[in-house]
Amino acid sequence: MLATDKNFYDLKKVHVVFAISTFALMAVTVWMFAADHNDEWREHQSVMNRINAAQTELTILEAEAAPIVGRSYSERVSNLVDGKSYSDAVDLVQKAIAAEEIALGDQEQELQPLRDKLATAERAFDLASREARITRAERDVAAANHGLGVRDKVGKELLAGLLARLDDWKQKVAKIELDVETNQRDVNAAKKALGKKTAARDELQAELKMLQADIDLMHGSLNQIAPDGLLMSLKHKVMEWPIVDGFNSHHRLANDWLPDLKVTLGMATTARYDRCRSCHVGIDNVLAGNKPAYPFGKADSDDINEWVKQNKFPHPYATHPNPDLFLTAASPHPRGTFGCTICHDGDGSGTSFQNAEHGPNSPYQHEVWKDDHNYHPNHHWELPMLPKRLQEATCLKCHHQVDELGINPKFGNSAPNLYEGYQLIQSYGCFGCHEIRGFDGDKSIGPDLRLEPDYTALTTQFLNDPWFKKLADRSEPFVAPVKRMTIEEILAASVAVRNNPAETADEQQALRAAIDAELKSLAHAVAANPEEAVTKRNRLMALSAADKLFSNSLIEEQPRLSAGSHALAGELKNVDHPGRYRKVGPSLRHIAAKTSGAWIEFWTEEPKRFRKKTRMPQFFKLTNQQDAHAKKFMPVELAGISHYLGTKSQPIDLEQPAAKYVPDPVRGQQAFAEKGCLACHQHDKFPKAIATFGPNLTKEHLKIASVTTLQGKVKRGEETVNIETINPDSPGFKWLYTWILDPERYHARTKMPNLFVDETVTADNDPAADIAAFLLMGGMGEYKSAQVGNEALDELILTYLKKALPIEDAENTLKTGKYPIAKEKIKGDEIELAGDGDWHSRKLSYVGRRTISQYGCYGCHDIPGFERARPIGTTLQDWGRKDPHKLAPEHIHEWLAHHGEPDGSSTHHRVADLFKRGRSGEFQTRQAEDAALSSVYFYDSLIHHGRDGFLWQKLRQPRSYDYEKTEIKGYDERLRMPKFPLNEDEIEKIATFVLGLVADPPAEEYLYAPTGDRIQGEQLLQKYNCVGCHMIDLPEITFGADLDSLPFFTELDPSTYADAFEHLLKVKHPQDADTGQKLPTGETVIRFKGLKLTDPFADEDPEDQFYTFNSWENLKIGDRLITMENPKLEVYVQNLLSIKPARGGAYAEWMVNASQSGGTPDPALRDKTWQAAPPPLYQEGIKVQTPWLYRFLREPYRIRHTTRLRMPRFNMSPEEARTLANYFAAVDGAPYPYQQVPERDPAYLAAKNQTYGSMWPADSSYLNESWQLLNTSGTKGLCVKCHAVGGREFKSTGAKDEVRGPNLDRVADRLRPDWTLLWISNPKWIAPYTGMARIFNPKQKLLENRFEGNGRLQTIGARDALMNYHRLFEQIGKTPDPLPKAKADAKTQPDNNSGE
Amino acid sequence: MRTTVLGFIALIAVTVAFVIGCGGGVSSDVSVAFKPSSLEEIPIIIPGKKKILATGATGTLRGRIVFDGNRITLAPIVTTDKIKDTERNVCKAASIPNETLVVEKGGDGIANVFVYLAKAPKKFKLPEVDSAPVSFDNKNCRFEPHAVFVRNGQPLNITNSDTIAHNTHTYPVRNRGISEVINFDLEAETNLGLTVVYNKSEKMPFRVKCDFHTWMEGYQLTLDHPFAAVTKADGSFEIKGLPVGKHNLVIWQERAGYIDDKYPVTIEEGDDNNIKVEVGPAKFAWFNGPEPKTILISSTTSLQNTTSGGE
Repeated sequence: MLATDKNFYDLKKVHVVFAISTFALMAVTVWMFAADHNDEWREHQSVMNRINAAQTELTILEAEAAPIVGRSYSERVSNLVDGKSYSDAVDLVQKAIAAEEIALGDQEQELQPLRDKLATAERAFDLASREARITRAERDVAAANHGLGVRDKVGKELLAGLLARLDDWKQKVAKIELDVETNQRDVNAAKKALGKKTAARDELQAELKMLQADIDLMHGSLNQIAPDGLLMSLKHKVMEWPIVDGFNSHHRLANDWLPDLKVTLGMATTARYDRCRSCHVGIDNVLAGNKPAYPFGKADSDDINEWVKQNKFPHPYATHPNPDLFLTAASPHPRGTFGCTICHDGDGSGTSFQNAEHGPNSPYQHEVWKDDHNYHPNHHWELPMLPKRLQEATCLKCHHQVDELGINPKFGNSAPNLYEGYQLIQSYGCFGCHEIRGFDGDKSIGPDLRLEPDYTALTTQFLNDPWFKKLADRSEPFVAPVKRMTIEEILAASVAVRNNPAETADEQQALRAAIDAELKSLAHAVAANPEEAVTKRNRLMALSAADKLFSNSLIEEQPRLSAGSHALAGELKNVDHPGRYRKVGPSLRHIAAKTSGAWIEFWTEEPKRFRKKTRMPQFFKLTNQQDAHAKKFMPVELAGISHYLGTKSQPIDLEQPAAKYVPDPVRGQQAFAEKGCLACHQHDKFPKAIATFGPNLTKEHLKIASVTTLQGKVKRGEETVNIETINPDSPGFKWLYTWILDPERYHARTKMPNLFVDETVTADNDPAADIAAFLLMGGMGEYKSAQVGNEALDELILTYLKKALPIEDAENTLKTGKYPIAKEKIKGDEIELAGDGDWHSRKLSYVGRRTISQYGCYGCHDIPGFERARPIGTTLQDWGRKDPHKLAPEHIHEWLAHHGEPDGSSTHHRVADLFKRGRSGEFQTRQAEDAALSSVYFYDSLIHHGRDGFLWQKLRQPRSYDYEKTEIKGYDERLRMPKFPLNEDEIEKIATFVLGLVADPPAEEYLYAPTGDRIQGEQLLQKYNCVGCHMIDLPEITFGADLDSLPFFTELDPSTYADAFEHLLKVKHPQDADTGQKLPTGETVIRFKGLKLTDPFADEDPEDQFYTFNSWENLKIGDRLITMENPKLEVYVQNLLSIKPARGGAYAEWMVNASQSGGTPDPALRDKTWQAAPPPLYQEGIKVQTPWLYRFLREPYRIRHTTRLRMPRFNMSPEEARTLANYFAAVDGAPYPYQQVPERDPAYLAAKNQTYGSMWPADSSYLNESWQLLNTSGTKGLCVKCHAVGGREFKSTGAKDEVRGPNLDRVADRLRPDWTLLWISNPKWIAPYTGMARIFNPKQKLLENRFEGNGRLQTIGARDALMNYHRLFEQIGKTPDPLPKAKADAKTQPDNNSGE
Repeated sequence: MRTTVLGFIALIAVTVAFVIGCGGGVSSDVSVAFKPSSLEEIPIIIPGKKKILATGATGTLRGRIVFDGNRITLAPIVTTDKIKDTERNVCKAASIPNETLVVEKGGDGIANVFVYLAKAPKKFKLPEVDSAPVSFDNKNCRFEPHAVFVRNGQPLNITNSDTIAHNTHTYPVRNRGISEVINFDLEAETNLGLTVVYNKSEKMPFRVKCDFHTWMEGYQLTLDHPFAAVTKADGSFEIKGLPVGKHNLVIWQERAGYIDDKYPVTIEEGDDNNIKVEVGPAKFAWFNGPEPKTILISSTTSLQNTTSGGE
């Protein structure tokens, strides 16, 4: 076709189309801009702006309305404005100024000349100043010219000219500056003259400015936020426009760049870039005192002004809670260093609600978000923000030691859910099956919860080697080594024997014996104390090697020790970062001594049937064991377990009481309470004593086998009664008796301490036997072993064997009873089938062993044969990041739709119902809603294949994932996780912990690695349940006090020494009791630590009812003191706000409360019971010397004789004892690990001798006098009344309940000098309940011949003698008794351990 | 603030009373109830009622607390041969008597019983506190007197007449307790003892012990008013200056606890107010121990046995 000019289109039409499309494009562009600009964060920042404006306005209004008080103004202004509101005040001052102006107007004639004079002077001054500036410039030019002349070497003459010019200008400058000065003086004089007249007005004006300064400042800032003027507000608005807002607008994205805090996204690791503050604008705004500037809350209205008025702000405007801990610069998590996403997860660079990857706390919240923000979860983002309920999980990223989150002196329990989850995991021993490894090589990656290396079990098993047994079985003891050889000698000798077989048989025998003896003693040592035994373990391994080496010689073909023992020895090697946890269940190594096989079956089948609150989980009769197969095999498995445990149980030496001793269950019940059993165990006979550390022992008798009863006679008080009691010869009794006396004998790693019950055994009182009888009364229950038919047994075995052998061999084995592989070559459980012996028994053992392996029973229990077994469960250290695709929910949806509840009903229905109730707003508070919707949240997560939901269901019904799967799985392939007795709340807490295990630690500087001994000490307090007996911290009482009614310290009682009182304030520094809060009724809220003495009397009028407390602290309220001098505080019932319970010491409190059961308070009995109870360890750090405490914890001895029980010995390693000893000092800020005792320094003693030398004869000395003071006896005796001192035993006063104090020979090593001085000065200042009296006070004059009867010098002398006790005892020797011993006393003077 | 309000109400009351009073004996039911803010005298005239003047009519209450049952003898707490050799000469008494219940020799009066008003009578001006100290001595390894009443603010002088150290340890509920070694082995003139002043009213008598000689036990009572007495050896007591009208007495004995916590008496002006309270042996039977025991009190069972249960 030819090209022509002709258009094919109608141009007009084209223009129209073009025009339309242009406009359309334009519109789209504008729309695009608008849409792009329409970010949520801009809106939030605008709202925040309005909030700030409203807040500032309100503050201005409040400030203007507030009366003016306490500001420093001149008297006149103060008189005018004090108590007035701001606006009135301004008005008044302005009026005053106006009045002054009028007054000045009247003096116009006098003022005018003065003003004129000032104007003239100022003009002259200005003129002179200007001239001076010009002249100085000219001078500088001259100086520069001269300088140039010097540089250019212009010649002498010219240079002289230049210099002269400079001098000339210099003179001019000097002259004109003089003029300026004169003029300045004139101006000042004129100003002063005028000022004299206008002084009053000027001052008023200045003060008006001061008055207005704050408000003006506020107005200024208000103007910044919301400008008043038209132009400014327009500018403000324009700056928010698109494109314009790029130029320093007040709307801007907030960026927190955290280059060291990396985030791993996919495969890449990159710096965090958190923009969360773009919307959460006020998140880190705090007011003075770290108070949130915008406290979170739900105001009644959507009106911003209402929010401000009610001081409640919704998200995202609210300030972060707990600013002391988060975001502020002074907190441990400053915003600039930590940002947001390290704790919250989510997408930090997202700038919209959706993009930030928020995580709803419940499906209900999900719905709300969907409506409000068009929210949908984004499955593609790996790290969605954690919902609030699981928020604490992320703390674990940095807090690998966990304990500091739960117990922190400054922040308390800052992650309660996580911490409880952690404690649950510890108490249920999840790490027995699921390793939680906190180290990747040497790098800490998370909490480390692993079992300790099982050295004890290894060596115990080692000792069980047939060879040792053989040695023991011989009638004569094995040949004692001729000489004890070192390991090196043994090794050298072994080599020598091998190299030279011609050695005599005798020498070989001797060497053999040396090896045997050494092996055995080492094994014993390691078993008893694995933590200390590093060298011993190494030697044991070396000796085991020597045994092999030796056998390689020509003497013997086989090593003496079995191959199993050699293999075990190999396991004794040192481990880097060994685990710290003991197995949580009891050892089953000697179980046959304790119970019967039938009971084991009964218990294992369903533990909570026997003990409702047991922590042992249930393995049988769960959801995947409801079919015919399971019903057939379960009894076989149970019978197998009990058979295996019974036949493998190892013998144990049992103790028994003295012959013919008749144990008394009634006395036993009392001993059970008094010996401290109730600190860990519960018993229904003592319903008020609650302790859950150990099991409830009420039904203990039902599980102890072989117990018989007998009739006997016991003495109760004066009477002899016939009773039925437990036969002490019966094996079950002996077992319990031995366990009480020496728990470590049964289980070397038990947490049950040695209570030293044996120390108090007498011929007619054996508390251990009595307690055993008390616990065993009632006898064992009846349990039936399942009848296991051969058919089921064989079928089960065949199922197993098919995995280990070819099918034909497996079937043959069952037919013939002969396992086709030799015992030595079998590594697995089939070892039980090999060998000889009863075939049925072998089969049962095999099933038992197989079942134990399968269910991992050895994760919690020490079981013979499983010393080297490894945990069976999946590791958990990075489970929080586990790819949800790797989880197998199987048919869980169906299960939950049709079943899922304990009663068989549908979980789906329950959850749907809860959801509806949530929607209808049925739950009143947020907390109630969160708790109720917990299962809804997890259910929803599970349905969407989330980790949290999977975990939730796994803990609820661990086997439910086998729903409809059992048909296609082999019996031994079914899920094995047992069901723990957890409620949904506990499951959520455990989930919080497990989801926090991500093994993704940030840079090392972010890891919180508390040094010192506090955290580890806290762990140990829990581990050994020190807090069961001892109060670690006293109760804290908070009440509203009318300050006028408090017993403030006014003057010192004349019976107290002033310097003793000063010492008190120094050692026990006054604590601030004022909380800074006030009650609406005006009372000041006071807080102190102390013990409650009495409850209110019920028969008093309600307004007259009060509690009495002893404060154990000196208190400071403002600058006033309440001291231990005046220790009782009465708190009226209506004023008491709270009593925060003591930390620990429930047992001690139980004892004390039991003493007050009469209804009316008995302070004397109360104090006495406290003296008999485990002492509070409050401020123990300032009391005892740390090295002493270390020794005491390792080997406790009896200190007090007033206590009913004595400190038991815990199964504690040296390292643990050291940590715990240091812990107490660290808590109280006392120096440790070593303490100075300056009272022993020669210089100190010399100074004492010099100062007070005139008080004693020349042949005496300070220490001698002090020693005599301490040891004064006879009728003048003081210390000897209650204490053993100076080598003399304590002497009974003859009374039944006498007070016997601690022996004083140990004070020097035990107590810190400052504390001791305070104690002697006034014991009640330290322990208000003590029986120790104040001996020396200024009102009394005791022992005038020592220190001239000066009680203060006597107090210090007594302390110094105590601190130098050992030296003095060595120098002076035993203090003789003043009177000959009376005959009568010789036989009736028992070493009366009162209360024993 | 409260004081001002009460004062104001009092003023109105007085004014109203005055005006009405001036009206010439017009009988009216007007009465104003209030609590006095202090114990100071507030003269009130309530028309139609008997005039009560704080310093007005008082009476003296006399009485006896007697034992109504078969007498028994309690064994000594500690016999001399058991007392520590160094102290035997000091604790001179043949043996340390059991003073938990002391019945008059040859009579039936019970000694050491506290008889007192739980609270100070309202609207009554109390007499000044007696500044003469009350004595409480450690003597022969027992407290002398065994039971003592002291008014708040009145000095209690604790002395030690023995030549060995005693620790006087008091266990009040509200007041500050002491635990002090009391001077010993000094001449009587120089041994001035330790003075204690209580300042809070106790609800009931409290124990005093010596930690060195734990058998030593005494009782003290302190109140913010003087209306209390301890019965003498013959069981008699006397409380002077009680305002006339109805009162409830607390009768308390260390072994029995409350014999009565609201024993009603009506005091009339003068000295002729007498009461006699009989107490049966069941009140004094107590035991401590793990389980209750059956207590038999009859002519053949001595009280002594009933106290040993559970020991």
